[in-house]
Amino acid sequence: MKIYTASHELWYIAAIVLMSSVLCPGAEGAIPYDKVDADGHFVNDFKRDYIFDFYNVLDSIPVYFRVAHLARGRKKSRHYNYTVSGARLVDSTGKVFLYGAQVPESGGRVTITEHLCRAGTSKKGRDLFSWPKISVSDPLPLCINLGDGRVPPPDKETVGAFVELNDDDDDRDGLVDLRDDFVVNGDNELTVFKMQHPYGFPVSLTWDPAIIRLYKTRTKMNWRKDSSLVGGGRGQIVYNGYDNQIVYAEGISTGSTVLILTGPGGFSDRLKLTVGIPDIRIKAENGQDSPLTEMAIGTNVRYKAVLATPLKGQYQWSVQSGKIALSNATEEIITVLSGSDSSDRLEAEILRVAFSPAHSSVSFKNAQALTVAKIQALNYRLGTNMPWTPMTDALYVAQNTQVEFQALSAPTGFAWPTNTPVWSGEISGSGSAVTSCLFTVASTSATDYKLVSAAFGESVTGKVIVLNAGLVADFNHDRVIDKKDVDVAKSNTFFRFWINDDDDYGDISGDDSDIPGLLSPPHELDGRTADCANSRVDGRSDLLDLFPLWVDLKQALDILPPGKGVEYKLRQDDEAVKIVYTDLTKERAGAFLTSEVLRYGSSFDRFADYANTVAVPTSGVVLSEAFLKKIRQEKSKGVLLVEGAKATIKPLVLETWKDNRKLYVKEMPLCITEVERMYRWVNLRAMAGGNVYRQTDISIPANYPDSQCDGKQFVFVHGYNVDERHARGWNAEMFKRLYQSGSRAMFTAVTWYGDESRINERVPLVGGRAPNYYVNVIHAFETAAALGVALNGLPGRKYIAAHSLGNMLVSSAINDYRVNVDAYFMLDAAVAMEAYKGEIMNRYGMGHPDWQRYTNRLWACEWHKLFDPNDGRRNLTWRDRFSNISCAYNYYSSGEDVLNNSYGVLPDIGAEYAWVNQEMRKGTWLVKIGPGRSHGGWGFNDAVHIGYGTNVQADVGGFEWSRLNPSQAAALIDMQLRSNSFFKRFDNSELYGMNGGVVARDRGVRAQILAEAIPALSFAVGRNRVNHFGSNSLDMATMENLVWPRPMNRWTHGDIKDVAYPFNYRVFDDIVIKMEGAR
Amino acid sequence: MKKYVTIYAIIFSFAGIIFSARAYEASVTVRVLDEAGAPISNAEVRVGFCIEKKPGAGWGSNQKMVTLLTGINGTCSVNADCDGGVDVDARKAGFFASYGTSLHFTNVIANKLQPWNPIVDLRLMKIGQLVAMYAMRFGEGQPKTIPEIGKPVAFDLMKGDWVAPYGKGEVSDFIFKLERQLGGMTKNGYQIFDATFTLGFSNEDDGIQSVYAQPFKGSQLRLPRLAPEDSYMPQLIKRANEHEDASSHENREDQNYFFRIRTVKDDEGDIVSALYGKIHGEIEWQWDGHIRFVYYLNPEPNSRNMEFDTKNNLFKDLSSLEEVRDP
Repeated sequence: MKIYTASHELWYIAAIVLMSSVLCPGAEGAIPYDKVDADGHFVNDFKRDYIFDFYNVLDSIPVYFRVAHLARGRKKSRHYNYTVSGARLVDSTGKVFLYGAQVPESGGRVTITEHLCRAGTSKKGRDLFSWPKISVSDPLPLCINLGDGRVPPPDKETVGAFVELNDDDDDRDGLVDLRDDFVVNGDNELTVFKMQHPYGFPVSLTWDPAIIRLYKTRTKMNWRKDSSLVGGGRGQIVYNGYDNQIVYAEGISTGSTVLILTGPGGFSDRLKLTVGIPDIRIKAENGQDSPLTEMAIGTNVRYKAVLATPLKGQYQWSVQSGKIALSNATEEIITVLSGSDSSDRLEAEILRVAFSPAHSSVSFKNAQALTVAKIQALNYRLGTNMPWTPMTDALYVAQNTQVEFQALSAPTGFAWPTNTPVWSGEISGSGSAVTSCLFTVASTSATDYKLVSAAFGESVTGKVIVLNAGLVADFNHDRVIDKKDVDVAKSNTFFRFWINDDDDYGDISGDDSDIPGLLSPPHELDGRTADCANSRVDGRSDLLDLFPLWVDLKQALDILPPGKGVEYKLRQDDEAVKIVYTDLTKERAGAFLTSEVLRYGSSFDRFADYANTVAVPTSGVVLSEAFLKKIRQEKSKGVLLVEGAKATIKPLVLETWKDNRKLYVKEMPLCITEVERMYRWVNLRAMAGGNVYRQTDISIPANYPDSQCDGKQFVFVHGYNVDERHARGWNAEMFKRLYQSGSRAMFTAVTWYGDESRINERVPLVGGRAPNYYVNVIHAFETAAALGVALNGLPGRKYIAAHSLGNMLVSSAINDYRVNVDAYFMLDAAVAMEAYKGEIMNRYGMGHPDWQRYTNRLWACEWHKLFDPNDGRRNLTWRDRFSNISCAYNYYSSGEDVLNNSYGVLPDIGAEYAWVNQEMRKGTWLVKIGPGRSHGGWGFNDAVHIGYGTNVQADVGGFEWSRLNPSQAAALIDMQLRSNSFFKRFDNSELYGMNGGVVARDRGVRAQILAEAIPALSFAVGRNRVNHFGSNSLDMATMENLVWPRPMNRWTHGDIKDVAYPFNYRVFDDIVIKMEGAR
Repeated sequence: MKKYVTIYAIIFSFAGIIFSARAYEASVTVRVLDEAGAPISNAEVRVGFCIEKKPGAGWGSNQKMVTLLTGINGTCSVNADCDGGVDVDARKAGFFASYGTSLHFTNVIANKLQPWNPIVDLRLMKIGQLVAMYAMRFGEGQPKTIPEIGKPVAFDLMKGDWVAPYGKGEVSDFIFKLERQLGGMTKNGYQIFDATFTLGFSNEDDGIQSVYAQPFKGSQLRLPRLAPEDSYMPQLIKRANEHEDASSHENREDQNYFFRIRTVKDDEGDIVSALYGKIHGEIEWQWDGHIRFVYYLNPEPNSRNMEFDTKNNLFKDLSSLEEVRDP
């Protein structure tokens, strides 16, 4: 018996070939030998068999047997008498016969039986016998498989083999290999297939040429006759089987095809080929589509590793892991099981998943990484510009503080997966490594922690003590720090204030004291000392330059009492503020501006106006225990007054320290600049020929941008004899006072040339004075048009205020240039009442004593009545000059000095009655000797040739002028008076001529005549209630506060600015209220 | 410039005319007396010497303030540089302050203002019995208007508000009535009107009477200590008009009033109970109904005491503009 062992090509066939010793007769072409055996039995069928038994066949397979007819031995004895069962003849070449059989999966037997045949007679006459002269081959399979034959038969048409898409560039020639017809050193991606078929017999091979190409060589040589390409790329080849039975397959597109090898007899073998790219994705088992690249430590998570393009069948997965426990790594599903004890897994692990396609020698290891991560710690910070700080111990924060928290990952740099980490406690939400929390509820005790947790598998929790601490300014300047202010403070709005760089003193700060000192030249301090430079409050006048700040610390102090290492500090990085301790409550935070009590300073025993100030250094000033004690006793206490000492945009910071460690900070955004950076500046001095030092600047104020205002415009115009430098003081002071009274309007400061003829200050006795009031009245008219343009250019609702002669300018702008304002606040207006209401007359108060007995018809102020309404000279009167103004509020003072009413006598020159004086001097010699022009007015027309008098013999000899007496003068007819006024002739003689009406229409002429030659016959608006204005006339003297700092409680001409705000704040409050509800 | 300097130099050489605000020396003696003419010692006297403002700093004068205490004879003296104007006042605890007076010196001799060292008498009224009152500057700050034109509208002085339905008032103390006839507009854009404003009362013998006193002159207690016992008029009528060529408004700077309200009489017609009060200044009203006045009401029946304790206002929630600070 001969046993054939399976060759490696047929590892799947267990075949045993038995050769029997029994002769089998009847071989074809020979005569089977018959014989009777010794027992007398007839034996006629001597034969022997080649038996091929197939068992454990894994799949049906075609098998060939080649039977060669040999030519050895004597010819006459040769025969080829054999039979074949279990196979059929499928082809022959004449001497070689090919039998084929399809061995079923159940196994089978092929038997080739040689028959012993009589081949003649020997010389002795004995019969000669011979076996057929054939050779039988071992079983020859028809088979196609991977080069190593690894695809088992059952898988050949289902799973098949994997061919990698040949989309790389092995020879780096810039050509993707599947488009490259030659790869120099061979193409790694070509898959070797081995075919087995009977050599020399025709076979055919078919495939889908769209999926793969077959090559004879690995280099894919494809040059004309030397082409390595099998079948010319057509998908089929038929040949005679003379080959080396090796082909190389190249995947050219993803998909599947079947390689069919067909041999003689129509037998065939099939092998499925799949062309693809292994794209491994690790997904959660629940089927979420996005690849999961990370997992939290301490969690049990099942993941599924799949190919993006499913390749049905078995794949060989392998998992590389460190400290991750794996429960299953077969097929597609990987279960990642992490342990419960995280202590030995301090860092994250990387899970790498690799896979090899089934029956492929290719292994894909660029599998997706899986990072196992965890929350390592929490950080916090109190502002986006602040550094992150680890949350080690309990964090102390002020109530309503926005705190940002950061979840730190391990490994460092690990990016949190979608929807992680998960925040809980005071914060909810997920998906962000950084989140924030506004702590609005204060802790009730030192152990009332507010918890903040972040979880990614495991969780980390931080503890927060919320202290009800804060810095709240009186944002709306209503002198009460209340919820409205607290709400503003919560929004981190800048509190805006100014540097205290003027030089106040006492209760009345006149002259230079209010000029801000720190802006660039020529606006310097001029030798003065800025109030912020010392360590005290500089009188009541200086209180305007402070703002109240409530240090809300009661609850914090209850939790962390001062002492025993606990300190409360106030800090400012630019050292830009100083503070004054007070005993005020927040409900009366602004009381320092309106009332007096001994509760200021470090010892709380001073009035506010001479309390000491305390610097706030960069390192911080520890708030005094006495101050904190007051807060502990009463929550609403803790008001500081703050003085701006330097420009800054850095916040004021409240810090709590414990054992030299900063527990928390609370900031109040602060912007402090020179006050002149809080409003616009319009310089109109050039309109009347004045010098200009500081040019108009109507850009948005840096420290009070329009966006912070309420959309209203407030314009202020100063009065007479105010030079540009002092205009800065006036404007700064008016802005500050309105600001402290709650105005949120955009403020525009106007200066104009109202100080002409001021004598050089070096001239003895008279230096610096501006005796020519009249030319400055003309300047007011000259400037009105420009003011009108400036006002009309301002957007929004407009409010304007003017002081003294500034009202001439503003009234002209409104009346003559149709400037539309919502309200006009006249402060100490140096304008005659008749200008607003023509019939108002104070004949005996304003009429010159020398003229009282002369009929009014002769007076300069009545000359206009001699002319027709259409004659320009009809307008040469103050009456109704500004009668188109109907939106005015008259803030007058019954205590006026400058504008005081006279009583029919020519006042002495001085501040008292100054306005009346200049009116009653018009046309008189007192003007003539001064710098003004003497014409019209209360002068007499004493020209001899006119004839309004005669020279008569004087008692003392000589002649003296004898003017017409009142009765004589009364007889003068209008015609005479038109051409020759009884009063001193106007300098402009054209007014008396035929063209006088036209000349008088000229704005300049009219302004000059009114200013110089037409005396008012009514008192000044700024001293009197103008009934015409109804309740819009307010006596500022009735609005005084405290004990007025002047004797007699006199509210004199400049007191709206000079007297400290605590005394006159009600006027500003009233203005602000009227702006709110201006009719 | 030389011309001006020369001119001024000439003028200053003449005594008797203070032409410039140049400072000269002034001297003042202040004598503080009580109502009976007795000197008051240790009274605080403030003397303000006026000096013209620095060049370019504005119009008017600054004051050099000197504060003194009177001696046993009730006097004190002081001298200082001055441009001619001197204001003085005096105060002392237990007395109503005196608003004082102004001096205007007109002559200069040897650089000294004449008359040299005049004696100025200031009288202080002793504070009697300060009483809590309802005191209010009605209509200050937030404008107030008579709720209805042409109809009587009552006002409750203790509530400081209009009587229902126009406000929270309950008692008709004052009854305002504003009647008006409106025309078109003047050529200058003013409302043409004829208006009559009437203040009436709801009780027989309630009434009002004028009292004249300039504000900020004399004593801080502007009006007499006691409201008059009688002579109250049952009505106050004011008229105003605005026409194209004429207008009329009744107004006096020294106008003040006493009033009596809530008068209760017995069967014989005698007053058994009434409340007294005062109004500082004029009752200011307008054709469109705006109204403003400063009033004090003593809530104690039959008490005519008008000395208001400024620290004891029975109105507790007044705005700063509504608060009354004069007694």
